[in-house]
Amino acid sequence: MTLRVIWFLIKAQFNLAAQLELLGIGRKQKYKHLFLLLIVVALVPFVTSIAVSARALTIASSMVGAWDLPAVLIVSLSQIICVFFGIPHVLSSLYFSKDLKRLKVLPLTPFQIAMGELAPLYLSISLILAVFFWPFAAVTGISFHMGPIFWLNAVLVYLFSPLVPLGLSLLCLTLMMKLTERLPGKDFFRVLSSLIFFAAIVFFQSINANIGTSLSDPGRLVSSLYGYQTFSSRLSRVFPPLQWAARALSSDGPYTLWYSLGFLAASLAFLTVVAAAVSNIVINLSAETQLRRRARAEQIVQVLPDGVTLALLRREHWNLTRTPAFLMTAIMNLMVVPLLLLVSRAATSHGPASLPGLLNQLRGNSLLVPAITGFSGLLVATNQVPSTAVSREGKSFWISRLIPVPPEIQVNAKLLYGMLYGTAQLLVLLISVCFFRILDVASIARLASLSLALTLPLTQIGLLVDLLHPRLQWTHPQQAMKGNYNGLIAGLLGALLVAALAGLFWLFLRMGLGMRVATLAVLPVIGVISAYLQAAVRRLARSQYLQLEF
Amino acid sequence: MIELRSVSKSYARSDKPAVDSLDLEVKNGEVFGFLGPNGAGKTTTIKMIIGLLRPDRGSIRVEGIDVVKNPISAKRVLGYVPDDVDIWDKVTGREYIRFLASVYGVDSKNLERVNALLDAFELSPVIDDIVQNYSHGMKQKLAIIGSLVHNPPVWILDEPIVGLDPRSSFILKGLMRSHASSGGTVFFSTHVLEIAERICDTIGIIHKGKLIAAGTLEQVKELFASKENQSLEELFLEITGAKLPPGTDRIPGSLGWCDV
Ligand SMILES: Nc1ncnc2c1ncn2[C@@H]1O[C@H](COP(=O)(O)OP(=O)(O)OP(=O)(O)O)[C@@H](O)[C@H]1O
Ligand SMILES: [Mg+2]
Repeated sequence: MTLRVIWFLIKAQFNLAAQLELLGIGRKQKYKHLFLLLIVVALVPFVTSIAVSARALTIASSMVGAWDLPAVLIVSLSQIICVFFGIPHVLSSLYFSKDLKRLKVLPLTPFQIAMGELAPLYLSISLILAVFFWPFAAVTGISFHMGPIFWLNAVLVYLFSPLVPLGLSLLCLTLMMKLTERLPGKDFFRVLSSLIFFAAIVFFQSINANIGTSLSDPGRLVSSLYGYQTFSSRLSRVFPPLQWAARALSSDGPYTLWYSLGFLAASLAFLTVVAAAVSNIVINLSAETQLRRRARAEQIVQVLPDGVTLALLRREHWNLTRTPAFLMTAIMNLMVVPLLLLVSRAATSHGPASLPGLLNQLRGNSLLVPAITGFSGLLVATNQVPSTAVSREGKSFWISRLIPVPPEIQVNAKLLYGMLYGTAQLLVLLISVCFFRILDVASIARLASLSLALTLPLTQIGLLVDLLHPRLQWTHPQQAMKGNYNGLIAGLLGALLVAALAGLFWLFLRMGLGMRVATLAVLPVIGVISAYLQAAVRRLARSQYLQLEF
Repeated sequence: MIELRSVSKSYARSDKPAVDSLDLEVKNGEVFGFLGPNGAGKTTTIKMIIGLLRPDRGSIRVEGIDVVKNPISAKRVLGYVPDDVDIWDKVTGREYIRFLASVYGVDSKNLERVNALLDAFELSPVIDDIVQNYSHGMKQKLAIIGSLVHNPPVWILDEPIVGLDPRSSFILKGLMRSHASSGGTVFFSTHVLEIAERICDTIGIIHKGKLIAAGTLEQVKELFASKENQSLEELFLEITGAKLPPGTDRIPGSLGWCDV
């Protein structure tokens, strides 16, 4: 019975067509294959870089005689990877799950349901782990001329690595659910967990980059790895089976099989015990809706009505910030620049080609302001906020059609909201620029005004694209924003505009205009383009709000 | 007041019109019940009146305002409750009401009535909950209250009784009656014939997009008078040509006993 349920859930989870639908790719067979091909192609450089790092590591550790270092790293990093990918997965499938409701009505025990939900997770985490584990293990095995027992151990360790992290994630989840039982912000945790996840990626990037920079010097590589090794040994002291797993991978004597079998049994036992202990709590808590009943004695609605535009802006803001899928995208867009700078800074803090060094060289370069303006333009063009503004309303769009507010005013509110968001992006960029002190005050002022002016036509383009063909019939918010082609189209068109303006700027410079004059000359061009776009927005708003039928 | 003059509407990818040259007039102070089997064109008609759909032909006026030519003014005098309520999931009931009050330009003094309605429909305790957490009936009640925030002269409801508990449907029926008696117009579609029989001043029966009977209950009965004391249900079945599956017993007599 349990097995049948598990199998059913695996099939449901891996329903590729549905997953692709979620991404907005549709059910077409052709696209499906193309998409898979793209994923594989994208993985090639990643796998290669892991293999190269592993090769350097094996050479380095054999030079200093630390033969078990690769094995320790494989095992401990596998655990960390599984935990980082496991927590968001467990969260989304047990905390936010929709089919949990359906499963609960079936005659299944909580343990069966929990196991059934964990099995598909196990498979997807294993797939993710494979990308890291196998290049690393293969290079190690080949470099150290390991025999067949090593490979058998590797398979066992690989297969059983996700179990303990899954158990840990389940424990974390239970703890979190217990703690937040009375809080209203269920959605908040989804965003939080995604951010943790993102931070984890940044963390890995920096490790990767640190290993990368010290590749040429094996001694330093080992010393920089020493930190991780002590971390790993601490990890294995808490949980000895990890040490067994590492032993199983560090030589190929037949006795090592006992180590991997011990690891296997301990992992399996851990997960089973945890699941048996907490499944009841998790399953019961997760299906509860959290009603926030707050009875009030006095007047119930003491609303002080806002102005129309303010009300529309509020509505936009609620919709964007209270829908986790939308909020994620919005926050990511805002954080891209600081994260980019932070990661590259962490990665290259020492070398001669470090980011601060590079920026120092650029300081005073007169092309810096137009270049950063162009970059900020690209950020705004691809932010998906205006380009999905109508789509995000979804099936509730009837309310916008019903209220006695002219379409152009409604669309202008969306435009304003998009501008505010673009301005926030710009502010983050400016703060980052100030942080590195690469521009003087006058240049920053020029950058700010130029970028702000550019935000207007880019926001208008986004709105135009979405007005032309809004995607209103969605069931999952993901389809409205991330999986919405309108964001992509608007991004491309916006990039075209940025490129055209850059070309014009270059032309002005070639004509012998000075940098400042050229900047001043571009501004009216942007103004004229915006005026035309605004007329188009107005016209399209009128016709579309009338024509879109329900 | 609602006036439809030879209104037709076909959906794309469909050769048969969903609504076919419909003529209809509902006067102020009337509760009008719009009856018809599934797929008859009730929702389509309603959506044209409130401006969610554009008629292919014909004209629609509410309070004398043409809804196609003058949509914004028309929307001001209309209140609408949809058949399946899709209110923004992530706003609270209070925020929804506040939004509507703002866009209709209602000032807070006129919201006393809204408070009374929230109390009557027992929504006050959940007013600070997001709509996502509401039950189906709670969403429907919020939509009903929302449609009355600006005190519209013309109130249009698409199958409003379905999904309401007895207490709420009782209140709603009272509201519809009092709306009409204070000079407003109520236009609602329903499948529950007893309700139509009890609270409507006039009814219209639509079948396959065509209006086949309209007027007061007595007028409609006279129009199709074949038997004395025919119930609205029997009349409805006769007019819409319903074929009962073999072996079904006809329930004799009126269903008027059913005290709803
Ligand atoms: N979006 C649509 N696209 C195409 N055809 C539609 C659409 N909506 C309704 N129809 C068709 O129009 C006709 C009238 O539908 P309508 O929804 O107006 O019926 P109704 O009287 O409200 O029925 P019910 O009592 O079931 O609510 C039906 O034949 C239906 O198939
Ligand atoms: Mg209907």
